[in-house]
Amino acid sequence: MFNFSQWGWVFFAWGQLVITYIAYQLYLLWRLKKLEEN
Amino acid sequence: MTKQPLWLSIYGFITLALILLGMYLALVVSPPDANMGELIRMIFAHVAVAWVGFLAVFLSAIYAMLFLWRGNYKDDIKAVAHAEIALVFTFLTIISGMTWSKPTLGVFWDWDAKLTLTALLASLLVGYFIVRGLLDDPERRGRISAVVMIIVLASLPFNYMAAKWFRTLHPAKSFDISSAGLSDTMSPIFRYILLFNVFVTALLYIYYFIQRNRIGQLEAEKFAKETDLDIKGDHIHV
Repeated sequence: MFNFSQWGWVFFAWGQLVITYIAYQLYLLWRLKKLEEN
Repeated sequence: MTKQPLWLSIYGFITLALILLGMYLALVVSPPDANMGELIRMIFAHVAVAWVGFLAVFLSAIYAMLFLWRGNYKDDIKAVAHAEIALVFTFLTIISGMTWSKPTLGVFWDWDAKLTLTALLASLLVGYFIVRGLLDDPERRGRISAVVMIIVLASLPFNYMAAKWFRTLHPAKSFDISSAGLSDTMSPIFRYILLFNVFVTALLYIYYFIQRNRIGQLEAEKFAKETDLDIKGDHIHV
């Protein structure tokens, strides 16, 4: 049976990971862009 | 000047595809666990970021020691790159652990040995960057922060063994390599999915590292140009 509560926590945990991975990648690109501009 | 080489872009795409495959294995292929049900799916994420975070601290400390030994500024740049990624993964370890702990054990946090040592690890890593921010002279900054990173490394064996030595909140390892050989209480499908996720997280770590290291190099060159410092070979001469 589909457990809404448990799946909610699972997606919350994996979501944190995905968001952080993307955020850190964007941060690296931003730093590289900043170096390029100066 | 700062364009990403083609091979790195290809590597990035392969890593992305493998991360998605790892997520598919964790969220779709993995069966629910007999005891914790669907919550087992979080373990693949939590353990992967925790192990890779440890690896990043270890490598940062190796480069910190190399910097103390050889004084090569490139070692310092590599140590910082590893440390920054270690901080990201340690932060993820803590929040994914808390997210797992609440529905499974009933609390987000407890001052159990493993959790306290991981909080200490994160604080020490933040401290490492504060120390770096306070020092302007590249040579001095490199040396002092290298010592801090070696202290961070010293906390790692205690963190690794904490769940075994102190049986409080954090569960003992289900997958353990010790002197007695491989003790493995995990069923094979969970073990393969876990190891695959550790592998792809390590690939992502390498991808981040290559980019972060390049940024460090470019910044050092820029700094040397701006301040009329001389980069001769591997050394910045103040």
